[in-house]
Amino acid sequence: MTALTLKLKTDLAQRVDCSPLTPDKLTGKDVADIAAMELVSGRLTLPVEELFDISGDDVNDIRFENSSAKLDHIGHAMSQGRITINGDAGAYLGQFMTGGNIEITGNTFIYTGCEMKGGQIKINGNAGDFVGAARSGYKNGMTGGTIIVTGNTGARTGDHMRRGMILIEGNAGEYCGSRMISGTIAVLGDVGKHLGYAMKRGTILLPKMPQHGITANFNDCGSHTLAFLPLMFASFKKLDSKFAKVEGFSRVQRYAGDVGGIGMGEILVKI
Amino acid sequence: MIKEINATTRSNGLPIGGKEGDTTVNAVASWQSGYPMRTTFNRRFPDYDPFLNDSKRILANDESDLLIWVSSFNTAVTPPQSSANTIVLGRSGMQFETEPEVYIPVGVPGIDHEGRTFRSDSVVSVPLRKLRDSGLPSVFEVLSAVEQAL
Amino acid sequence: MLLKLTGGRIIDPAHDVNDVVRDIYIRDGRIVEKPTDGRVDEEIDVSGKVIMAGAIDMHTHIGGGKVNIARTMLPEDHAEAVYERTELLRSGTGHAAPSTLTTGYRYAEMGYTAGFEPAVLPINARQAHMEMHDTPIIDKGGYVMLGSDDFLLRMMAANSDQEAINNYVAWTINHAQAVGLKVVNPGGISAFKFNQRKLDLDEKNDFYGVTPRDILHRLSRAVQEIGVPHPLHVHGCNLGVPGNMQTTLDTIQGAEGVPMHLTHIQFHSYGTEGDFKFSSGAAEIAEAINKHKNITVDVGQILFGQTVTASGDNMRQFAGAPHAHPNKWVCMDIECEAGCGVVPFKYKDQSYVNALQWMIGLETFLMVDDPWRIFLTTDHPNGAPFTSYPHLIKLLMDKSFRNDMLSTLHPEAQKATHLASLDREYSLYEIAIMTRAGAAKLVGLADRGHLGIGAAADITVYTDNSDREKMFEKPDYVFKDGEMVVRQGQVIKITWGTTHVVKPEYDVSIEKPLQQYFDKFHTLKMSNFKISNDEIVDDGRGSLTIQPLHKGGRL
Ligand SMILES: [Zn+2]
Repeated sequence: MTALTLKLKTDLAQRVDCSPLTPDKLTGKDVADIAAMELVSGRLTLPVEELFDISGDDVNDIRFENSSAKLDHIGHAMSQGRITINGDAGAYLGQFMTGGNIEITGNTFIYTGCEMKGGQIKINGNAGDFVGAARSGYKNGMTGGTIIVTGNTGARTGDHMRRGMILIEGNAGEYCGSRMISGTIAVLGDVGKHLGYAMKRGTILLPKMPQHGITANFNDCGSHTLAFLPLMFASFKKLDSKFAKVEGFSRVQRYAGDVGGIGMGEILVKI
Repeated sequence: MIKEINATTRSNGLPIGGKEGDTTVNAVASWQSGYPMRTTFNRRFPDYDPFLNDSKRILANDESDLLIWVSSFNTAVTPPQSSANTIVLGRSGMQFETEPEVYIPVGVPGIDHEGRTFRSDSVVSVPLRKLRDSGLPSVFEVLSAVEQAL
Repeated sequence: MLLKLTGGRIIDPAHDVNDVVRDIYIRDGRIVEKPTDGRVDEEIDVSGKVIMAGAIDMHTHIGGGKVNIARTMLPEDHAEAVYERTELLRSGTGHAAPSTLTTGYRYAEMGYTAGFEPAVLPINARQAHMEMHDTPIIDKGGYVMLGSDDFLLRMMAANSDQEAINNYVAWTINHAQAVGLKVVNPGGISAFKFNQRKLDLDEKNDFYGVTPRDILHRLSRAVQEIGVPHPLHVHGCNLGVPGNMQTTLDTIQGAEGVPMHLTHIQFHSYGTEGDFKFSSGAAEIAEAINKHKNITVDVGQILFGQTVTASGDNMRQFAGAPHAHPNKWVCMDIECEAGCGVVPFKYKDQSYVNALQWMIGLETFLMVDDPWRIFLTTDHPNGAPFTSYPHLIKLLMDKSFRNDMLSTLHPEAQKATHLASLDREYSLYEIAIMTRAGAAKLVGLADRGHLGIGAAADITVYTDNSDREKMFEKPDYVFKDGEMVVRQGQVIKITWGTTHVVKPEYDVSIEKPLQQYFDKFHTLKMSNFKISNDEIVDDGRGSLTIQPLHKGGRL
């Protein structure tokens, strides 16, 4: 068996909803079935074969070639298997996923890992706004799993996040960790303004003081030696990420906030 | 913060926003579809996404071939530059940098015809009355005529 | 065009007709006599079918600011229930807070032909009417809310005479285009503005020094004296508070024989006995209702699952906000008049309190003797969405079904009720009273809720089925003003119902102090406050039906 490969044929004008193209939903389908499946694109539906050249047959190993930022909902609610994307992906990559792996060579648009519950997404590029966030108007962001971004993320990373891990090798945009309820965000690069805005609980881990400092909504709780940090760094060792090579530390300056609310979130900065 | 203060005493916030009929469109869209603006009907049902359905984003990414621009209050509120064919139902007297494919001048609610509008706090709606006889049609009349003709 | 429905089993309690086989003739939207020449244009064989007037929901939150807040606040609710457009129907969303078009379709599909919005704020009655205007098929109307408005409280603080209050009430009903008068937590919404967190029946509003009892007394008299058929619609003090049954009993006693409708009585029938300090007061409340013939109630039954509570009672809604599920809510003080609170809520069958609420509602249904004085509601969407009515009807009509459900609920709650020992099963005739004849009489609709000659031809045709839920969720046919709008539970034609109003007379001198009051305190001009008849008719789709006043009312 070789990976089921979907090579985008054209430059897309309209967005395409790729949510039916997951290992779960393609189980038991042969290439002819898949070719005839209809995808929503704008106000039309188009058969898969009109958009993609199809080859291979292993639906548990799906590859998008020549992928575009207009392919939305890739990996929607997947529970197992593997999706590899060469190129960019659109909005809601890995939304609601509960297991399996997604890896992409390019950039993603908004809401990567939106409300995901498990599994891993690795982005070898930049991610847009609302990584691991809750949908607009909803209260629960990602509740499990890991998102690794080798580049930068946009605004509102981890908005309403409840559990799980977002690891950013580059920079995070404004309002990183906004309205966070629990979980961990770690950023190797810099972070934008309003870090931890309206954060309730959860942890933001930084190897250096952010360029804009810590806002007045966070109280400086002094320096601490936290025993859980070396354990966490040890758990990074198995990841295919710069985080695997980060030298562990346990001494941090701890800031608690956002005191505009219950103030039980923490920003930990290496000292 | 207002919620926290109200645990012991009283505190209120008054959100104000929206002009040129925005609050009204938002309210009507909400009761007719369940969602505010930026709702698509592509899939035959209302589907809300404030980012993907942002019309400026849609136009900038060439995801639409037709723009219907409704602006009956303010002649300065003109359609954005785009490659889409453009139909404007605009207040009479509107000037364009790029002429739209179709421009239908319309009257202003509360001046040329009756209507109702929500206040910018979106709590109270007020009647708009016809103050003059300009002969200009309302957006409703134009759209009804188009529907009739189809 | 003369339409004949042949051979149906007619259930028409307004005319004491119980399961009598008879033909019905319809012309120009009305039920007419059998034509003398016997000529019929169309005949539908309904032999063996059960025929009732269209059902009337006399208390359902289908329009107005708070319903729209619930809609915009709960995308979760909409994602659960999505309706595609068809050739005939427009698309929509929503389970607990459906969009207006969806609301109209769903009501019609269940055989309902009218629904009344019970919490119309005077200052934003226009929005309530606009939303109802966009609700297809069913007739509608609203009860306008007074009782925490500063104008009334100022009048009462100044000890104005009853005549002046009557004038103000009649003026408000006229210009808000209402069919009745509602009071919500009398004076309490105003008291909450002054940071009072509860207001008992005889407790004074800190600022005005007026008590809820005074307000109920004044307003119920006003409604009676100006001849509005619908009695004062009362959402009482202390909603949801354990022990509030005493307040409710005092309220019934305090009505002093003046007609009063106590709404969602289930939420006002709580005792404080037992380990949980929460018990059923249904027996005492039902006894009081049975004794006081001036009192009518609707139940506000709760049913398990996710819904949203929307109420003008922001004092109580704020107190309930910590229970919000999902965890978000809105409470507002609104202008000089009122407030609102919208709190999403999930009733759980394994919660002691929720299970007991379910039992209290059913106990009340079963222990109030007179079906003409009790009405079937879930206080949509506060207790449950209106789409659960067929299920509720089955609970009332089928004892074994009811007891089977009961046996699955929180075990401690089961011990706290004697519901299992109540043998009563509602008959079809009694259901028809509660949902048709009685509701029409209560709201004051002369030409609805019955199948007599001259009545509007709002008719529902069911196939008799011992599974009452199946029977009532999918009628064979529904006629609205003589037109078939539903066939086999599917909407086949879109019509637009009328708006029922009453127009009690008032002395225009009331506008002098009102004008000053608007100019000084309000954010809206008095002339803009008034909703004209033309606004209701709007593009020609709407219409006004002015219902007659009671004798004794001045017209
Ligand atoms: Zn209610």
